[in-house]
Amino acid sequence: MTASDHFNSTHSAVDQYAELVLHNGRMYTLDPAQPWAEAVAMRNGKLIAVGSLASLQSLVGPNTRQHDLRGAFCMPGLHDMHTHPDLALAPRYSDDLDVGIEDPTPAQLAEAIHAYADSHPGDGWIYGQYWVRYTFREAGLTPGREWLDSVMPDRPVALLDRMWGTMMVNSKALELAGIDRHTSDPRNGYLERDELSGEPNGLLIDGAYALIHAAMPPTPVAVLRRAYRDGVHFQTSRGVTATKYVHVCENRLQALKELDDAGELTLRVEAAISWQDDIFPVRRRWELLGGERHFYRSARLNANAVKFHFDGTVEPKSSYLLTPWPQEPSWRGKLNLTPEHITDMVVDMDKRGLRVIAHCTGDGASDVFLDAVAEARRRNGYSGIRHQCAHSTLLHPGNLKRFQELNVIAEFSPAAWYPTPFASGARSGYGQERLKRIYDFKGVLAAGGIAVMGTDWPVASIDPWLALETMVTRQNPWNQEPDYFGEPISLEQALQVATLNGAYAMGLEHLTGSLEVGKSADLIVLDRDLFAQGPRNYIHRTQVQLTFIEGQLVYDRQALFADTSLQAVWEGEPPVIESKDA
Amino acid sequence: MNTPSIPVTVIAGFLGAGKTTLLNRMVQQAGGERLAVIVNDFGKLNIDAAIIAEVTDAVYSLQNGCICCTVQEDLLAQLTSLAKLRPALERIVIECSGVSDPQRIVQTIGYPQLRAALHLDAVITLVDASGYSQLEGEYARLSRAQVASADWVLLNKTDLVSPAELQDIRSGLGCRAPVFETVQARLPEALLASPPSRSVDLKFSALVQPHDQLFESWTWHSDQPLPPRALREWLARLPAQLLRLKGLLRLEGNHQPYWLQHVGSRSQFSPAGEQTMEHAAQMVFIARRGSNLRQILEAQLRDLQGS
Repeated sequence: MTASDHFNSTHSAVDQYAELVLHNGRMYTLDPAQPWAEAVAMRNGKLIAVGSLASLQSLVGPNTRQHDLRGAFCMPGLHDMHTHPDLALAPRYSDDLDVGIEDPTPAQLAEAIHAYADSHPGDGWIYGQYWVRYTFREAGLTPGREWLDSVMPDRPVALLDRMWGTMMVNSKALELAGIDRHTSDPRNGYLERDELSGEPNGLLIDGAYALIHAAMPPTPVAVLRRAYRDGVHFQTSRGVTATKYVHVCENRLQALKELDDAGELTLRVEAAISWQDDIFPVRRRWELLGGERHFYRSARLNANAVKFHFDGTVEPKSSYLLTPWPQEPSWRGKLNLTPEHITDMVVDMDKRGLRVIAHCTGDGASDVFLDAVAEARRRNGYSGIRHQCAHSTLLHPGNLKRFQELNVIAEFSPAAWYPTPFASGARSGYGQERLKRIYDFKGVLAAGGIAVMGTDWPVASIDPWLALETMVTRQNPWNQEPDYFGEPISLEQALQVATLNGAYAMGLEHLTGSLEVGKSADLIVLDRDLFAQGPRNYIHRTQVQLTFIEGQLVYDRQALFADTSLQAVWEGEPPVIESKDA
Repeated sequence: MNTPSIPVTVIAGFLGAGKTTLLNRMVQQAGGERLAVIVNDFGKLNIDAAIIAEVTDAVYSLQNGCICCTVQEDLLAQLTSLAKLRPALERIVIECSGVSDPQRIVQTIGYPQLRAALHLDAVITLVDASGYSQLEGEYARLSRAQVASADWVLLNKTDLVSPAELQDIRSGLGCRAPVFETVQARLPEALLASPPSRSVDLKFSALVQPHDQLFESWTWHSDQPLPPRALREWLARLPAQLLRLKGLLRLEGNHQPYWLQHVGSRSQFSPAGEQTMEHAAQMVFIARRGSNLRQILEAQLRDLQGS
């Protein structure tokens, strides 16, 4: 027999007593009227009392379960407002060709292609990695469609080179992608061509990959479901109760819905539909934006957001800045879309009730984005939709107050807000002056704006506790080096960023983000008091013991409730889904 | 739009192989040539740029680490702005980071927006004869990639190793490009001074002084267009002693004239636009002295036309 549905509506029957009481806790509530509490009572997924154990005795009935927290620290669940478990994990789980040799000779490559074709019969794509150009040169061969056709003429083949600069495809792949000598080059790459005939020679450089990806079958739902499941499992066991999966398509939404239906979507997810096809193609973009997205909707899942890439990143100096890059006479970076495109799009999406999440690393990109939101507010009035500036790596000081004025969320991702060998090298590209005001939580908060954090895995670690610690220290969490990037904020501010501000960014501040009567019981119990000692090298080691979402126990590290009706969806240590950094 | 396309020379090789020495030599030899240099100071605190800055003011230094993998769009932007300089540049030299594969730079030069303004002239890879055999793992792979990308390999610091070691290294390089043994990166001047670029008043004439000890040069012309397929097969078979070949050609079945450039083992065709052509095909060759290629190659060309 399947379990009955228990949704709450106006005239639902209400029990007199609480279902669960947690007491003897050190509860940091994020409610200014009552910053600390020792007990909470839950019923129908909601908090019906927050305070002292004595004050909620009237809610304890014969069937109320009481649990002694033994002084443990308890707080609202964390909000990770920008991450990508699918992008990190799906390639690991998809069954692509992996040649498995550092520098395969053309003969070894041909052998690997044949072996893959034999074990994957049919006429489907052979997609994978890696090959290297120099072994072709050493062998006196020219890589490209001619060579690949001689190896595998009748199935489409696309292989990436080890430096990620070139994709080699055969004639069948070009044909399926509709690429011929009339195809024009994209702005961010090109097709290598025969110099005399203009015919593509089967080598696609940089952004030209997308032409092939568009013709390939999408990543299967089963692969995406497995990737999201592991991501959700990890996040839940690290205390995340709400997240944004920024970049989805119809298959990704289907995978998330299947998890939801199976009871395994153990956190709230806002999924943002990709505006561009630069990461993966979205075949039903306009159906989704037009209303098909509502088919996936539940208390845990919504797709009322759209994500776009406005500028690039630091390393290739493609972030769009207001003034030229260091050592450059005029290079300011790149905008992928015109300001007019952005403006019309933001106005339109705003009117449709969709949150626009805009990738803006450079201060020029966020300036254009804020201008577009200002125009949307002028034309539409305030729609109630808080748009989101993603990464916000560099912000013009004059824009700090506009986040509050325009009701735009400033989202910061920890990829390089503290020094590491990687970050110190890569981010130094911005120059010393800009580095001082990188990821300016403090500036946005001081100007009254809403700042949130998003781990942006796999660009940075998906562990929210690393992000939380380094928000407070802005220092390397694994050593004692004195260097720091940007301006730290207090632990109290950081906790608000990671909880209540996240709820604002989801449009759910009435429902979650703090421990208050009437709000959803979304809370976590920790192994340590976050205020007990200095944050450095301490906060990121936090273990989450229990995670509740809508009053449901979803994570139970020590399996305390294993034999009860409250048994958690996930038990034991968090799964290992990323290599340990140190 | 009669601005000649700017030849770009890419210098690759490991840290300490002699890239900067070669670069300084090229800058000194440039004489009145308008030359721009893009250097990359990966981990070297600009020392190289300081040296070069004494010689020319047209130094472009990438401070952000490796050109090939981290500053590619930046390189694209730099090349775009260099191509716009007036009076136009006559040569651009890019020094790769020691730990980079020059292929990424070659790919950047291939971007469509640069094609009309500049072209890859040659990739010169320097190999430190005294250190090559000690490289391991990823360094050994990178070094192989650098050698494989080369149009010419300069086996440098040959004075520091024995003849037997040198022979081992040469056979271990496994490359198809011509290899020159040098000390202090002394590359023969005749190789660096590429044939006149694609200017409208191009005159084909021999490029090497008759008394040159190492190289010889000659021209060839014909009033008959060449068959493209057979020509390409011929180009692919050209021996390594032939170091450079430049041509202005009509091809059978195509009314458009083409420039042809062959360096090391790489051939490139590019449309020549409106050219007044004295002959249907003309070529200038540079080869190692004593290779006796002239008669053999001319006979092969006649065969091509007859086929």
